[in-house]
Amino acid sequence: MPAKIAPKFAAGLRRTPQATVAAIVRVSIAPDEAAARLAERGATVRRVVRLVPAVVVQMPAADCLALANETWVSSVEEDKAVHTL
Amino acid sequence: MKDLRIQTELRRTMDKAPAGQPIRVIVKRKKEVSKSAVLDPALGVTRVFDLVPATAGTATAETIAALEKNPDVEMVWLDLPVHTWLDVSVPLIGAPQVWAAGYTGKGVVVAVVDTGVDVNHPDLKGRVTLTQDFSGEGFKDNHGHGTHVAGIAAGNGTASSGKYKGVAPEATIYAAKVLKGDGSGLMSDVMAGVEWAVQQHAQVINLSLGSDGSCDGTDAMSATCDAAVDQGVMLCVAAGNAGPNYYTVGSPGCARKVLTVGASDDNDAVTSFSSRGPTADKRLKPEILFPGYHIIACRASGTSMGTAVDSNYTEASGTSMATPHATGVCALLLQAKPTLTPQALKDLLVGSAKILGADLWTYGYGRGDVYQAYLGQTHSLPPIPAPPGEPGGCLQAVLQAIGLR
Repeated sequence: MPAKIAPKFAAGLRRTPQATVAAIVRVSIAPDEAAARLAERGATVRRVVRLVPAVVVQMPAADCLALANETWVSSVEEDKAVHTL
Repeated sequence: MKDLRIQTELRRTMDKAPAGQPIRVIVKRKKEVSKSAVLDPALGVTRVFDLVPATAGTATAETIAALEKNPDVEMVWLDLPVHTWLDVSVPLIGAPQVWAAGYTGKGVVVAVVDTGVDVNHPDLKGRVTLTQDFSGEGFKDNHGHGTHVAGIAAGNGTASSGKYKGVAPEATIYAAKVLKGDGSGLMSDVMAGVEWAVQQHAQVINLSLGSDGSCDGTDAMSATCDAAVDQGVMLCVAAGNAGPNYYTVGSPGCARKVLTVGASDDNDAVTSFSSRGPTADKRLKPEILFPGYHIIACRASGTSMGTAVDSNYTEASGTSMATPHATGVCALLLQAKPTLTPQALKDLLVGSAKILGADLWTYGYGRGDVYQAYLGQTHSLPPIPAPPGEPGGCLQAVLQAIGLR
């Protein structure tokens, strides 16, 4: 079973636990419910994506890392840059 | 005899050029002469060809005049810039024959998820009927990329008397701005743009964007694209511009269910920059090529993307430019055959593509041809070969074996 957080991203989160990071949290519950739970934990919810479902957040790296322990969290990814091709 | 060695257009350029100004030339030597024999020290060589006995470089008018007297030289040409106008690339993929059959994309909605679209461009005016900004900058296309892409997919060529007409010139356009004026954005903004396009019932979504690095299609942006396909929406996605090495298709080009598009030129050669497969998990991508080299299409007002042709058009290259050819093609086919599912559309396009080369990781199943697809002229697909070795594969295996990776 793949890790909920990619090893490279997790290592970065551990290196700078206080830093605010942008992340995409994929969830196994209703995304609005997940957004509420994340907001309760102090995350700034930027977007809720229902197609996947996922919640886009900004939160401290340490808190982001801790999300992997939640059963309703499927994965936590870095909200990476994209560009024109 | 003397004049035959210098092309007329080059002669005119030499006559007008100030003394000492370098001119780009191609020098053809006589077949029996060795490569180095005609290379005047003053010729700044940029390329030596093997297929033809020729050398490309820069030279002043004086140097060219000296080359003209060189008995080893057969001909000197001006090295002209090469353009694939929409009036070349669109016929190349068979669109005019489909227009002639009565299909121009009318009634089909294509969504351009990009840098925004100039809704007042004469080629698009009145057909960009729904817009949404996810970038936080406001919808205006202050980069130019999205307008260029929209023009290739669905421009009607009004500002060029039809010369730069896009593939589906009567399609309806929805546009989501997910990339800022510097051409960059976040994966989550793209996910929001794709979701919005699905909610608005777009039938084809164009994504001429991507992230860096090889991927396996499991990331959230790729998963969103696959979910959109599951909702019945066709997604055409750029493979990336990280070629010519293998394993260079980024996200969301690596998404399983989308049609991933690489770039060819107007001679049906793959471009060197076009990203090559396989994906990180060794699947075939890109599946298809479309023209994406020096494409002239709509220029957004006040922008400088590409090489401007005039106030209404600009030239640009990339898999970004190849992808909207595929999007326009899908619009034509969906008008002609509205019941096609995304998978059926994908199967039809790859099955009717013109085979360009045996290396599927580079060429996919070939260059798309909408007329052959419209006619249903499909061929059986070749088997997918064993994937090429990964770059640094041995080193990675050693690192894994000793627990460092």
